[in-house]
Amino acid sequence: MTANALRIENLELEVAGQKILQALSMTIRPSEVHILMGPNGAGKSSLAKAIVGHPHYVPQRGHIIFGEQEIDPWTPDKRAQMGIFMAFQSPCEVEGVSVANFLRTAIRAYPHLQASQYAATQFYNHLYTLMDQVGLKRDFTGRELNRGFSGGEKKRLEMLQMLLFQPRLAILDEIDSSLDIEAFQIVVNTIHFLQKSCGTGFLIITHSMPFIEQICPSCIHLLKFGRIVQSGCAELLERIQKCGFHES
Amino acid sequence: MTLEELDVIAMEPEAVKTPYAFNAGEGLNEGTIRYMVEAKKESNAWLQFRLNALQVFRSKTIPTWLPTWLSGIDYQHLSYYIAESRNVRKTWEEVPTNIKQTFEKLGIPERERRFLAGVEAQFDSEFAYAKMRTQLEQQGVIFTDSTEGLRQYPEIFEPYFAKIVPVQDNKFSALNSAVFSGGSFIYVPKGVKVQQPLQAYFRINAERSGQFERTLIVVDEGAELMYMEGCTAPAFDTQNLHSAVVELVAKKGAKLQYITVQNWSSNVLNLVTKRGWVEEDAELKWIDCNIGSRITVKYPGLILKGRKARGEVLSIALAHDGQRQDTGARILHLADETSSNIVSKSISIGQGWAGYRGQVYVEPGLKHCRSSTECHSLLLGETSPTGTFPILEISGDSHNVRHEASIACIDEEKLFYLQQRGLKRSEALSLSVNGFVNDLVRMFPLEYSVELKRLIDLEVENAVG
Repeated sequence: MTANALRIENLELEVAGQKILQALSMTIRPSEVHILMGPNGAGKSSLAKAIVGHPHYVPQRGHIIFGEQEIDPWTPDKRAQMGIFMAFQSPCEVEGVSVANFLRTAIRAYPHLQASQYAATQFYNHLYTLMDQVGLKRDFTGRELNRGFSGGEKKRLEMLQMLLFQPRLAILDEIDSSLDIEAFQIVVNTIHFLQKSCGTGFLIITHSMPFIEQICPSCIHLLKFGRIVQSGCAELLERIQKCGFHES
Repeated sequence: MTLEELDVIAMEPEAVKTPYAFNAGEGLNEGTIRYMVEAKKESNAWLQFRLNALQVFRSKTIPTWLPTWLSGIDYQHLSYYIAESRNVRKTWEEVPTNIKQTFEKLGIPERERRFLAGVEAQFDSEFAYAKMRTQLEQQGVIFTDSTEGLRQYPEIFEPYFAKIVPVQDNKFSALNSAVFSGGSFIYVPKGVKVQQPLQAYFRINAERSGQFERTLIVVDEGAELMYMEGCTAPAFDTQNLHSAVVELVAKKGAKLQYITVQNWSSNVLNLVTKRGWVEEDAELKWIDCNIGSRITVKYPGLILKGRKARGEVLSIALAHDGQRQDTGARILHLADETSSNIVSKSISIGQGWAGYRGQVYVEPGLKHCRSSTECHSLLLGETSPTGTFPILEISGDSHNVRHEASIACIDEEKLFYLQQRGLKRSEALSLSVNGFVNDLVRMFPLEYSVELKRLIDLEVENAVG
């Protein structure tokens, strides 16, 4: 029996005096894909930020347990190194830092990847294979990180990083927005690939029914006013499809 | 040797104990100058030149835009001429061991073997070592110090000496003219293209001393040269003063690049005047990086005198708590179709002040001049100070002149994104800051860009603790 990828117990989050999340609990096991849905402002992205340790989203109460350990005291970089990855809705542009330089610097931080033993040629061979997998041309290694990238290219780069860092838990925040059909398929394939090869557990924030259908989720959570009002699977999805968030 | 290994070698050495054969003692007066002239065996004409400069220095005040505490420099408690020897060695074996070790720790002999065409290493007031590859000597390249340059080749150097930066230009050019010692005097004959850089390294070792090197580089018609200077000093509790004058001449069709990596310790007052004279179709680039010193006042200048003369000032300045990098550029367009380009990137950490102060002047009656200025400031603290003070004086209606400036705080969301990918906060900050200056760092030769990156990493790491 392996440990859970993520367990959240009675989480309560307030930002600038406003209650964002209340009594929120959920458990994600390895290889499970959980969907988080809900109207705008329900607290979906706030939950994601609380899990990855954004300094403005520090929970007032409750626990976030990753594997066997409580992650409250961990800095964002420690959480990443331990295997929590988040694909951003709009990844930041970093001027003057090339994709390759950034990835080589970042990968050394991950103890389980033993990347410090990589020679440059090994690293590039590995990187090129993964770039092919997400459909990024090789000359992207020399481009400035996310700068001047189209929406689809940014998402492909997020998928590339997810493949490279092999997280135990991946949080995808509206990864499916503004995707062309090919990129859409790449995202779906990448999720399935990591689910199978690494046992990665997923928490996916999305509004898109075609996307949900493609990734075959283990569980769907409906978040409203900071609370999970319903969790379920196929039936819940059907009801949301029929009636929208408000009636379900 | 790999770049990483080179990186390890370039570490900050401490002050070494060494007997000084020459020491003018503390204080600045006629006696100081007479002592220097005697030690250097200079002619009476130079004695008069220096004494006159001392008078000019005494009559001048510091520029009004600088902090008032600079008026309080205690000139009488500094040594103005201090030299372990007047004997410039041509091999490192002849250099006294502890002085040689200082330069070894700075990676100088190693770089000389790897990629330099010649090296001059100044230790306090005089060169401890100077050597240029014999092939360049055979081609007629002159690579010497100010004393020997003026003594042996007056016909080459005197026409320009103190003409591009006159004695009375400012208080510190006058001070330098009174007590100058050391510095590179270089002549590249017509058409000679020096493939590898010449380098000078300036090291202050003595406490409560001043270094006043004087550099004059003449690149003759169609010739090319890259010159690099580095500078460091041990950190003392008392002040050191560094006040150099650099004059450059690029004659018709010549190309000259002057690269500086300034990493003085934070007790050094760095008050420097640098200016270049650019003739027809010639090109002069100042590539300047200021990381150290308590205060740096430096506005590299270009006098674009010939038709189609071109010039650039590219500068990086980084200031942490207690530092001020008052840097910039001064461009005079004095001929048709001249062009200039200024890119300044400054980083203020905590209460450190790094900014830009500059002047672009286009003389009335000229046609088709171009000038572009870009100033970008990055602030690492919520209350970090900076300033951009451009003066543009443009006459005529056929010119193309632009000025662009931006100020930005470090983007917390960007740092968070990088942290989410496993980088420590300090690493994320270093990466962002290095990215900010990356387009300019790439202008430095590879060996120097590695060192720059390392220096920036160190500064940022110290800042976040």
